Order: sequence, then structure tokens, then C-alpha cells
Amino acid sequence: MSDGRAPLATLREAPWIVSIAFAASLLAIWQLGAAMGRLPEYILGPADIVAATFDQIHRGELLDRVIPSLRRALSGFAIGASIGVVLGLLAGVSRPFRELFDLTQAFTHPIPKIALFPAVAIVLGFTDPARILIIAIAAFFPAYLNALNGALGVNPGLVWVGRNIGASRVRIFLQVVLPASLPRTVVGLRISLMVSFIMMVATELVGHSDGLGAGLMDAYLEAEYGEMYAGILAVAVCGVLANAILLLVSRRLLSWQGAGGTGHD
Amino acid sequence: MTSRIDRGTMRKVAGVLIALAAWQSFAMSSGSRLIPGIEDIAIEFAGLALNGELADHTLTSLSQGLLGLFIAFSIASVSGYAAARNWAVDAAIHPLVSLAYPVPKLALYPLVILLLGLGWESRTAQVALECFFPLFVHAHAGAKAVAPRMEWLARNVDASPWQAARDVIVPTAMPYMLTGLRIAIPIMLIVTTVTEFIGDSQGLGYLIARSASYFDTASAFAVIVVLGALGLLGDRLVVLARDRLVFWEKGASL
Amino acid sequence: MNDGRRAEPGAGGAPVEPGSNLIRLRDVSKTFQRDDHVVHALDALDLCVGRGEFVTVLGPSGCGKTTLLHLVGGFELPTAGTVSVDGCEVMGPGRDRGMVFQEATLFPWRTTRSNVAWPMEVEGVGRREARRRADRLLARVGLRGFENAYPSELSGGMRQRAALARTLAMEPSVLLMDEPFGALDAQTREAMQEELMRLWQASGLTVMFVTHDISEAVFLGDRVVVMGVSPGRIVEDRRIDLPRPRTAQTRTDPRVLEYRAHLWELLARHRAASDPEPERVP
Repeated sequence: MSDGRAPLATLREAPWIVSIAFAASLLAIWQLGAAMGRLPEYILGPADIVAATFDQIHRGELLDRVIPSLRRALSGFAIGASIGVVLGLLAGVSRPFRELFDLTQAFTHPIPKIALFPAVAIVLGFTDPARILIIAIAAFFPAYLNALNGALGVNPGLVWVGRNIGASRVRIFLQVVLPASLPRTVVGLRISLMVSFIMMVATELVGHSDGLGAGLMDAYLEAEYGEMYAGILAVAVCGVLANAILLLVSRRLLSWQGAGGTGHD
Repeated sequence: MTSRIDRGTMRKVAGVLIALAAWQSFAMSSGSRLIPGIEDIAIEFAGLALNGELADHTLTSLSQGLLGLFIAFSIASVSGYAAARNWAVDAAIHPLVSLAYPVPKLALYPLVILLLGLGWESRTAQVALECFFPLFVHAHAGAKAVAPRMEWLARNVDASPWQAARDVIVPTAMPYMLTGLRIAIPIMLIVTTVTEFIGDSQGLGYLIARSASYFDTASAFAVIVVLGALGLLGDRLVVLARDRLVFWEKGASL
Repeated sequence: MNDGRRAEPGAGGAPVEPGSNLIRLRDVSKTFQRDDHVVHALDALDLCVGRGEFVTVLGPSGCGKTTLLHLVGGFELPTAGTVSVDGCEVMGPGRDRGMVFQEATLFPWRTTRSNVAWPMEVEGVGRREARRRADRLLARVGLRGFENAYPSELSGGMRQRAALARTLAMEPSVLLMDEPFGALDAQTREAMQEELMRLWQASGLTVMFVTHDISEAVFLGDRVVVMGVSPGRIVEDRRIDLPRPRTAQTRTDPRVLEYRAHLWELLARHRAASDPEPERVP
């Protein structure tokens, strides 16, 4: 191997170096621009953002926003996704059940659920139940559809084995269909969780509220840019953490899949 | 066998009728004007449709949404392709995209408003921002999915890079891209609606917010029906395009 | 437990003389509705399999040989005629008829041991006892040391061994095998055939083994039942007079070549005679 190519080949073995270098240089350019005062006043540099975030954490304001937001997102997710998984699996194994839901689901699924929020808020007010209801409805669909397709896609041979062995319908559902559709169900849960977080921010941006989304909007209106960036950072961290936790749990649950993994980004 | 199909269709129709009946009886038993019956929604829908408002606002929402989607699609295709074909680009971009994927980009909306103002530019940009991620992931996976053997074949027949891209890579990536589009269209509608809630403006989201401010839930639901129909239409169009463009891959990927 | 069978009506419960036929198909037809036309998978088929006999069913794809197996297994019911096992009409799947599928249908989320123990757990055998018996069965099929492996960690041949062990855990009297070695490479397939012979010889099981491989059919079977297409029917039922036990040496027996040549010609003739028919995907 020639000398000229050697460093590149080494880099190729360890692409994370490039990843970090790229991210770091982006941050550096951003910081430099901010320090030189070349950027508009509402674009803070990374260092200022971190400082503002720590300031917010220190004063306890950030936590006061994170807690109600997370409560809404997670309870909406728990309600919507669990109903979705149960109904989806049932629809997957029962044809009449599936047919009964089919058209209703096809017509309601494409509605952007956030569009329901103003109408729901008229009845329930801009309250937690209204927000949780919207988040739950939005989280329901990906969970339902993926559990349904998971159950439909179960290798029929596995079910035949259960019938051959003389296992009851309930046992086949619990010990064959449920685990066999788990990979797909987990994919649905991850989408549901992402949707829940989008709906969390969306429902908080609108109307009078506490929480992260409302905090962002208030900070924007009052030109409190440090606060605004701290809020954005908090939303990002919540989203990444929740996804990482769910990913970790699903890896544990699906460890039997072998080297292939779930194969899903 | 025909009776079996008929029974299935009957159950599907029955399911819709049950859902509608449940809604109607809920609306009637609540006795509140805030929970509109189906006939109220139909009347408001007809009214909005006849005075041309519905068409105006739909046009506004769609043009903003589709422009955002188009921008996202273009950027995602190019960068997804580049990342899939070049390890250095991949190393630079992919971790950032994976990290940002589960984050609701809507949190950046205040910042986007500061940059682009409260007009259509910020809404379009927000749509593009949110739709970029699923499109990138699918473009990347699509370009990666090209079988090495297919590439050897392309090199074997001395295809130029341009020919290889057109005849080997794009056809392979197409089903993935279309799946990405199926995910991105509902996202486009969500973001368009939310951003139109904020500030006085135009569009279907604005129409819902305006109706709500007059406690006119029947009109709000009339607009919601339109949004649902747009989502359904968009999805059907992508499926249709997939059946036409990638006819060799029957019923692949959702 | 409902084993998916009921006593044959009329004939007084036990019309079969003991020691003779265990499986009996009488005038069995099976049709499927596909879109707008009717597919005759099996047409007025008669077949008997003796107790302890090893019968291979040979035929081109689409001849309904898998359907035949499914009927005996009780996974499908005949459109006309009766299928009976041990004097009782088959009404559904049952533990007395263990099925081994073409691809190993192991539960990927269970270890090999846990897969094999499952039929016993369903039956109500205690967990520890089931595990103990599962380990013994795994040793019998040559999988000692792989008790804790997941199916994704096993080779194709090993998976089929584990699937066989799981079926044996049901303690069936009939073993129904649907091209179980079809997906294996030639060398593994021969090794598995010899292993199956060894296991069967010691077990006294009645086996129906479906294959499209002529050599396999001849090597394994006491009888080779040859099926033809459209409609699916039996075109020949030939006894294979090769000595038992059959081992690797059996393959070099000159009679093997004769049987193969004969069956090959028979299949070729029937293929030429029948109209091309789209393959049935089960």
C-alpha cells in the first residue's frame, strides 16, 4: 500500500473519527460565527446555549416544563399504544374483527390528528385530558397498524405447529402469535412514541399551557432567546432518550433474532 | 366463495355504519351544540364548499405543503444517495440524522419563524425540515439495497456512472423512496396544520382554528374531513405510482 | 384431550384388522376455489398405509402431494371421501399425527430445548420433566450441546433435526414429513436421510414422507407412491425391495438404479402427458 493512501484507509476503518470531526467542525464554525457577531441576535452560539440551559436547570424552570410535558406524552402514548397493540393483534387473528375495523381505520388514519385539537379543546378546554386524548389518538394508529400487520405476517407454519400439538386457541395466541408478531409490534411502538412527542409539542404550541412547547412559544414572543434554546435542547434530549430507552428494551425482548437485529433505523 | 366476499364487504360497511351511528348517538345524547351531529357537519361542509372558502384554503395548504415536501424530497434524495455511496459522507451525516430523527423538529418552529417570518416561507421550511428525515432514511436504505452483483453487472457491461445510476440504482431505490413518501405525506399534513394554527393566516389549519374560536365545531369537523380525504388521496396516489413504477415488486414494504 | 378424530360411523368403530392398515384414505377428493375457477388438487384417491410402514410420496410440484399430507394431518378436510387413522375419521389436527414441515418451523424466540419441550408443556408435563425429556430427544437426533442455542444460531440441517425432535416429543404414532430435507445441500440431505432411517428403525413409527427427489423416495421408502398432476392422483404404488436396515451402503445397491430409472421414466411420461398447470403455492 502506498503512503499516500494509508491515512485514508485507516480513517475508513474508524469512520467515527470522521463523524466526530464533522460534528465538531460544524459546532466550531457556528461558535466562531456567534463569537464574531456575524449571526443575527436570535442565533446564539453553542456555548451560550449550553450556558443558558444550565442556567434554566439551575433555576428549576426547565424541570417545571419538562415534567408536565413528559407526563402528557407518556400517558398519551401508554393509553393509545396499548389499545392499539391489543386491537391490532386481535384484528390480525380474527377476520370478522379486522373487517369491522377496516374501512373506519382507512378513513380516520389519514386525518392529521392535531386537526382535532381545537375542536376537542372547545369541549374539554386547553387541559391535560384534551392533550392526552389527542396524543393517545395519534399514538393509536401506528401501534394498531403494525401489530395488525405483525399478526397477519406470522409464518402460518408456526400456527400449524401449535394446532398439531393440540394447543388451545388462547395458548396459540399468547405463545405463538404474540411473540412472532413482536418485531413488527415494536417497530409500531417506536413510531407511536415519536408521534407522541410531536403531538406533545404541537398541542402545547397552541392555546394556553405549561410545558416545553408553551415555554418555547412564550420565550419566542418575549424574545428570551436563551430560554428558547434551552427548551429546544430539552425537547431534543427527551425525544432521543425516550427512543433510546425503547430501543434498548426492544433489543432485550428481541435478542432471539440473532445478528440480524430488527433491521430498522 | 362469492358469499364469503359479500359477507366481508358487508362487515366492512357495517363497521363504518356502527362508527357513524355511535358518533351520531353520542352527539344527540350529549345535547351540546359543541358536539355536532353528522348532518350539522354536512351542512357546514356544503356552506364552506359553496362559498369557495374551502377550495381557497385547501389550495393554500396544499401548495405550501407540497412545496415543502418537494424540497425535502430533493435534498433527501441527493444526500441519502451520497451518503449511501460514499463512506466519508455517510460517516459525516448519518449519525446526525439518526440522532435528530426521534426529535420533534416542531420545537424548532419558533426559530424558523425568527429566520423566515410568519408567512408561508416558515411553514414550507418547517414541513421540509420534518419530512426530510424519513425521506433521507429511506433514500439511504434504497441506495444501499443495490445488490453488489447488480453493480458488478453494470461495471461488466461498461456502464457509465450515469447509466448505472439510472438503470440500476434508481430502480432499486424507488420502492424505498415511495415508502418514505408514504410516511412523509401524513407528516406534511400534520406540520402544515399546526403551523397554520399559529398566527392569523390562510389554509385549512387556520380555518379550523378560526371555526374553533367561534365555538363552531361543526365547521372544524368539516375541514377535518377534507384533511382526511387529502391524506387518503395522497396515500392512494403513492400506492398507484408504486404499482406503476415498481410493478415487479408486488406488495412490497407496507 | 380432543385429538381431532372421531370414531368412524357405521362400520362399528374398528373396521380395520389389527396389525394392518393404520392410515386409510377412501375415495378422497379435494378441490380449491381459486379466483374464478376450481382447482382439483386430488381426485378420487385411495391409499392405505400399514402400521409401522415407511411410505414415500413422490411427484412433481402441483400434484397435490402436500395436500395429501395435510389431509392426513387434519389441517385440511377433504371435499369428498374419508381419511381415517387407526379406525377413526380425521376431523382436525391431533397429537397422534406429528407433522414436520418443509422449512423448520421452530419458534425463533425459544431455545432449541425450549422448542422441543413445548409440546410436553402444552400437555401439562412439569417444566423440569419436560426439559429433561427434551434434552434426551435432542441427544437422540444428535444435537447434544446445542440445547441453549436459538434457531438463528443453527444450520439448516440442525434446525430440521430440532424440528424432528419437537415432533417426536408429541409421541405421535404417525410421522408426516413434507419435503423436510428439500432446502438442505446434497451432502447434508444424505446424512439426514441415513439418520432418519436409524431413528425410524428403532421407533416403530408409521411415516408418510413427501418428496420430489427420486433417489430420496427410493432410499427411504418401503413403498413409493407416485402421483400425477391435474387432477392429483396416484399413478403407481411400487414396493421397494431393498434390505433393511438401510445405510449408506444401500445407495450402491444395483436395484436402486433400476428403481430410479423406472420412476424417472414414469414421471417423465406423466409430465409429457399432462397439460402445463400453474404450480399451487401452499
